[in-house]
Parts: sequence; C-alpha cells; structure tokens
Amino acid sequence: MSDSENASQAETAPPANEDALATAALETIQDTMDQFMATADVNAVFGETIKHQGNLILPAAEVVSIMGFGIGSGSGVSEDNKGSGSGGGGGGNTFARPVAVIVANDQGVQVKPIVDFTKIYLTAFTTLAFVTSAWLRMRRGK
Amino acid sequence: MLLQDSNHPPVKWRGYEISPVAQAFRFVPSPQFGMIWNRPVGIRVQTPQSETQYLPIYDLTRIIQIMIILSGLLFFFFLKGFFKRSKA
Repeated sequence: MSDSENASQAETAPPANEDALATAALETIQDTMDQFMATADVNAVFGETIKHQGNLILPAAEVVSIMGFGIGSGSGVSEDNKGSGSGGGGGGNTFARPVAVIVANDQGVQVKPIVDFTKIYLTAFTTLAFVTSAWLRMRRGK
Repeated sequence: MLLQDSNHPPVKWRGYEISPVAQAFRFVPSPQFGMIWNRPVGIRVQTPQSETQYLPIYDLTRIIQIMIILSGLLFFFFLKGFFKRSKA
C-alpha cells in the first residue's frame, strides 16, 4: 500500500474520541433498553386493587411497549475539505388498553370484560368500506 | 422472541386468594430495538373452601374485531366468486 493510500485511510477513519462517544452512546442506549424491558412486566398488566362498597376491584390491561434507537457516524474527505460527524436518535411508546376488571365480592370472584365500542365501530366501518369499494370495482368489471 | 407466563403476587380478600396470570411476548431482535406485548391471561382463585379454580380473561374487543374482519374477508371472497361466475 502506498503512502498516499495510507494517508487517505487515516483521513477517512473517524477520530478515536468519536469512537469513544459512540460507545458511550451505545451504553446509554443499552441501559435505557434494560430499564424499558424491566418496566414492561406483569405489574403493568394488573393495576392496584380498589376496595369499594364491599367489592374488591382489580383492573387488567393489555400493555404494548415499543422502543428503538439508532446511531451512526461517518467521515469524508474532498479535495478542499475533510470532516466527520455522528448522530443518533430514538423513540418509543407504550400503549395500554383496559381488557377486563376482576370483581370479588360476597357472591365470589368474577371477570367482567371491558368492550371498547369505539375500536369496534372503527373496525366495522373500515371493513365495510373495504368490502363496498371491492364490490363497486367488481361491478364496474375492473 | 420469547413468550413467558408470569404471576402477579396473590391478592387476599375475605378468604379468597386471587392470583392473576399474565403472558408477555418479547421481541428484541437487536440491542437497539425491542417490543413487549403484555396481556392478562386469567386468574387463579382459591376459595375459602380451599377449592382452586381458573378463570380465563378474554379480550372481547379483540375477539369482536377479528370476527368483523374475518366476516368482511369472507364476504369479499364470496363476492369475488360470485362476479367471476356471472362473467363466465
């Protein structure tokens, strides 16, 4: 390998402190990810018990957590300039939806489901729109 | 990908012991991405007479949604077949 090629490789490689920064960022991401994984456990599904008029109520919900991160770095050289940079980003969300309540009283323990009518109406209207548009297209012979 | 059942600490109430059971679906393909889906599965109840029974928790909203979508698809395929036959 010639000297000029070696010099070019040295210029395009990211500096050592950037590698250290990237490693630190990855460690932070890993810590955040571990905390996120620990948060989404069984205690998130069943809520705090409520005692009301001789009843014990235990709410149950479905919990979905999604999280993602990404980092990158790079460098480049041209005839006049050389430069490098790094960046990262991430995002996440947690959705919770009540599924049922567990009621315990003198008559025993019962599971009472919770029905989300808004979601059902939305599903029904979307399905109806899909079937209607398909039917219209078939009638037109497309 | 991991599917695991976990038990909530039992709740005691007037001689009843209620142990909720949850199921977690973990999908962590890389250290940078993860998804966890936790859902309640049922409860184990121990009565004051020391009888144990299991009560499942059904997600009625999801069951109705799936039924609507499946019936819509079924109707779509029926229409498709009907129009195909009428053209022939």
